[in-house]
Amino acid sequence: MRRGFFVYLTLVFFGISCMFLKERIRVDFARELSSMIFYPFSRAYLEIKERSEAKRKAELLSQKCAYLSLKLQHMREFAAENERLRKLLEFRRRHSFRLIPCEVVASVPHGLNVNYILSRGRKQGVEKDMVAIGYNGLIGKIREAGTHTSILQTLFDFNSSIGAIDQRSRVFGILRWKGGNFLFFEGVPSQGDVLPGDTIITSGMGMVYPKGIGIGEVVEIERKEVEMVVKVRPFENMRGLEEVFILTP
Amino acid sequence: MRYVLLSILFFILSLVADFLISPVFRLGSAKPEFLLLFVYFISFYWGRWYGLAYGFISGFLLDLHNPETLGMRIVVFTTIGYFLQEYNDRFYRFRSTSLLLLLGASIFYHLFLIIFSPLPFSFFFTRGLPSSFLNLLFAYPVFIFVGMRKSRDEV
Repeated sequence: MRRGFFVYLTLVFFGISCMFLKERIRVDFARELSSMIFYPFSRAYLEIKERSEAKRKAELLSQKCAYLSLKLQHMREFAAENERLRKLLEFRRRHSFRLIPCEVVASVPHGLNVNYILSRGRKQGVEKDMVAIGYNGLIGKIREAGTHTSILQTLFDFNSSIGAIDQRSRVFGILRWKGGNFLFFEGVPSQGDVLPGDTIITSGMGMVYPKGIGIGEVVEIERKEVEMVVKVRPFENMRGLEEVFILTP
Repeated sequence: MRYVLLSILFFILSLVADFLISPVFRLGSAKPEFLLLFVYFISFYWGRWYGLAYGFISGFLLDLHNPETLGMRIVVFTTIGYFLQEYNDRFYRFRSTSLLLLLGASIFYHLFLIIFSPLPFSFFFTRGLPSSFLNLLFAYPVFIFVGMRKSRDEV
């Protein structure tokens, strides 16, 4: 009890001494003490504040980064589209055809054949047997034309056969599909001048496909007794079409 | 050791409440004084030494915050912290008298401040008295909770 009271008196004496200090000394003393006591806390507070600020900034930057990367992807898409349109323009310059752009809206289950439904039909000027091309080359022809839609028969169809020539050596042959991802250039004698890397284009015979449209590239040849087996990789990916152009006279 | 850590925790909470939460409940110029409540409760339930120590520390910190009145809160808070324990055994079973004691302590604090500082006496009625009643309002739930628990422990 006595010890407690003594401590109490000492503390109260300290308080009273502070009360009776001169005002300027009292204020200076308090400021000095408070800066000494609170400095670690204010430092810690500032540290935490700076860190949270940095975290917030990092989040903001990562958001910005994601946004920019998305934008970059869009730009790349636009650049690719631009490239495709340039090619198309070049094609139009060479052939002077009118082109009807069509979107592929569905694929048609037709055995192993690769056929598609297009978004344009007779109302938009699409007729049966019109030729469909892509950005890189020939795709096929219109099998049936409805009022607002039409069915596209691609080169990957067992019923499709196209008169074609080797662009370099002008050797004539017929292009057929036998399944898989390649076409076969048939009817070329075993001594015919066809080499891997040659470009195969439409011959213009048969009255359906105009002359000079690129079809594909020779990837493999095999000389048999009578005929040569020529494997051609089409320029267009028949299994992943998104849009095609119909040639109209 | 457990009591020391707990008391430090409560002290920090009261300090934060006094500086950050108290202005939310401002009523004119009056506001609840959580540090005073903390000193009151710690002295009331944990004894003279805790009351003395935290009374001094709380008063000192508040004085550092208001350097013009340096020393006044040290005296008041230390006194409240030291003497409230004296009444612990006599009053804690009677809720109303304990609350009156708190009201008395709050009034003593404000009267002391007004007497020893250049503040006009009207401040006691505009700020001191309403603040004392606000203290009472905030102390009541804490007092019921802690008081009831203490009686239950004893049973």
